[in-house]
Amino acid sequence: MQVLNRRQLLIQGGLLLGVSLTPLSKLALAAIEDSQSGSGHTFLSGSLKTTLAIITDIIIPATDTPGAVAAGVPDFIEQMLSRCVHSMEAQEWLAEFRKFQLESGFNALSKEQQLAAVKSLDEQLGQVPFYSTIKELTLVGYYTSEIGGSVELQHDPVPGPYNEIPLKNIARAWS
Amino acid sequence: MNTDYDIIVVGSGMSGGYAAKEFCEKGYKTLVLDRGEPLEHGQYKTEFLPPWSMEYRGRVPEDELATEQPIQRKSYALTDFTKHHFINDKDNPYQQDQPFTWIRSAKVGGKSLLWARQSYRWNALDFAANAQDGHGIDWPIRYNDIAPWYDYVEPFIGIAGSEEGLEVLPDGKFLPPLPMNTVEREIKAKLERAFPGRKLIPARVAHLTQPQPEHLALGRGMCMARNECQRGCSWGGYYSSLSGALAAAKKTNNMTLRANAQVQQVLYGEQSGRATGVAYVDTKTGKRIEVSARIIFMCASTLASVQILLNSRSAAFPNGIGNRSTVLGHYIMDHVGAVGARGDVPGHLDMYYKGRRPGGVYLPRFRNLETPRNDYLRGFGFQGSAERRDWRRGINQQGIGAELKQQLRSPGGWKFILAGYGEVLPDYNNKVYLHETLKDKWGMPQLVTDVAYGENAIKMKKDIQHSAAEMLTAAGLNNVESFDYNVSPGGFVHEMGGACMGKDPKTSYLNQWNQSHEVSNLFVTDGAAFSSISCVNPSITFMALTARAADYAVKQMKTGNL
Ligand SMILES: Cc1cc2nc3c(=O)[nH]c(=O)nc-3n(C[C@H](O)[C@H](O)[C@H](O)COP(=O)(O)OP(=O)(O)OC[C@H]3O[C@@H](n4cnc5c(N)ncnc54)[C@H](O)[C@@H]3O)c2cc1C
Repeated sequence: MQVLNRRQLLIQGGLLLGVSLTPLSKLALAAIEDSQSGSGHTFLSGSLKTTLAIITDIIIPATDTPGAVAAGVPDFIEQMLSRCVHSMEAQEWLAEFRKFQLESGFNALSKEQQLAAVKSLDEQLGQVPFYSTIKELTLVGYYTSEIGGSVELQHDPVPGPYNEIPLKNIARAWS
Repeated sequence: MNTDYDIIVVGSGMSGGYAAKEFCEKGYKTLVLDRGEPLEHGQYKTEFLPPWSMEYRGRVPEDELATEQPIQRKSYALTDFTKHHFINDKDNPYQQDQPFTWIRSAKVGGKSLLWARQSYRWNALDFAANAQDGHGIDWPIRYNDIAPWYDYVEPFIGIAGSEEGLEVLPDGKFLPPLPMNTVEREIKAKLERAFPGRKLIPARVAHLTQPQPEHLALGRGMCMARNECQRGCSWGGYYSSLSGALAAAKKTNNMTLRANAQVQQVLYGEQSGRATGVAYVDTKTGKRIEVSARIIFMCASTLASVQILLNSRSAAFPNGIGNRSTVLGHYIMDHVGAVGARGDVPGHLDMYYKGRRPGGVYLPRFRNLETPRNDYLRGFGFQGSAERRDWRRGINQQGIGAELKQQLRSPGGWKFILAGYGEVLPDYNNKVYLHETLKDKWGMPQLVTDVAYGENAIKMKKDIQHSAAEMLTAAGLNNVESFDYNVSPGGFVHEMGGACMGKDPKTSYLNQWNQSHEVSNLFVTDGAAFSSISCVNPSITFMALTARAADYAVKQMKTGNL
């Protein structure tokens, strides 16, 4: 019952597959330069940060509980990509992400167009590696945050002995 | 005899902890030496941290894994919550002629802190198999020799389990079992109908489902179903050397426990013909220290004990103490596994659970019992469990927005998994030895592993995978998918052999009391002593044999033989 590690997940998610290195790594370099000139975080530039935040909040929006941005998901994703995956994989991700942003002109789109763009990425889930990574890290980041793990879902630090219970006794799943 | 201590125990983990308890309780001054850093029961720094208070939510940065723990990271149990309980690979190198994953602990208490608590008795066939099929060295003991010692250690450890009356998986002295859930009960009924003779039973685990007075007296309490055991558990809800045996040994005031003490050699007295003590290096100061005792118990874990013994060279024993047979280091085994099947279980959507159950179900061995197969020898068992899918199911599913969030607010459907653990044949060619020149930073010669799965194991693996899928299909699961993660030896952390017990000093290292054939006051009672590997998890058998050997050593001291 081995839990897949990041690297295996990325490989399964195809981030390492079907990616031609040369053109992408040029883009990656550009993105890194871009990010170094940006403010705040070291991994993404300001405009890429904005794109990421919008996408995560479309995946997990605020409803009766706060959404991805309120739960700090974009920062979490940057942190994961800059520290917790192989740097080459992260750079490939960055290149693809930047390409998507440039080609779609994402930040300038209307709200409806942005939603439609993410919907279309989601319909191709599994075939667009950079998006699969964003979706995965959005869910992981959200449900392991205090908001996702203890407001949206239920945190149960000391359950006491294991017991079967009818589902109707419980308002929300355990995180 | 004028010695610093009566007994020296090398290692404070599963086996060493138990040895310390036995000797201390019988009044012997016992020195326990452990390479790991000190750790007090209850001082578990990540125990109460939710994921959001961890910088990386439980993940370990990639560059840190790659440089500090490239081997340990292969354990599913290594996270940012637990990494400090695993050894630093950079400081503790070894060489691999063939891939071998050597998982090691970093703290006093050893891997007893890290284990998955699965606890099964070996059966009569396990001890007879070598004699029957001619592989490996015939065990000098049989089930009846060890049965009373299971009876003895189980109540102290505290094992939750159900009495089933099966010859293939003897019952023990159990606390109430962990409950099987509604899905597991349904699968049990269907499986047992489709495959007469097979059983699906509650996993037997070292968790206190109903603490007894002897547990409470040590400060242990009921398991809280947190299932974050590898961080350490200050309830003592699961058995570890720290919460159990070392706590008991400490109470006697007969134990001296020294951490950061890397034992490098067992010392031999040419005159007396006995082991006189051990030499260790204080890893904080680099100082080499010698200490003496009447009796030495080696419990540093299978490969580490063998490494120390191989390094204990003298004029009388140029190949390592007690090793005139040169069998020391041979017959290294680990289980074969990471093979099985999983699938979705329809229905039961009105049922859920509270608590993270620290164990699921077990399906005992059914192969090569009455009707031998002609493609491979010996057998395998399965661990498994049914649970509902959690929010992670959203990762690979289409869907975004409020609808996705609403969906993940409820648990998903049920899934069930069976993962097999198979017995490998003991093989003389699977060995470890000392590197001629490479040493670690404290001067200990590095171990080299030369261990691989044989043809028998590879054929068995195919059958494990096939049987798992076949059973899940018969039990009515959907989307049944079988898997084989191709894990290298060592990856199951059930390494055994290297200083095998046997009747003949020419072909084995230890006699029927875990005692060196050639050096009477030297005992090895961890997995190194094992002449075969069964298909069940080994740790309670390490403890049972350790208690038995300690009892023998005490009786020998009393009659003046030791
Ligand atoms: C993730 C995981 C899951 C597991 N699940 C199970 C399970 O479900 N059931 C089961 O039965 N087993 C399980 N195991 C295996 C179990 O942990 C071991 O079988 C058991 O701990 C071995 O006991 P030991 O006393 O031989 O070694 P350890 O418990 O490892 O103790 C050895 C001690 O010796 C010390 N030492 C090593 N070298 C030296 C030296 N040179 N000088 C001084 N001290 C030294 C170490 O620091 C350590 O403290 C699991 C292990 C892991 C890692």
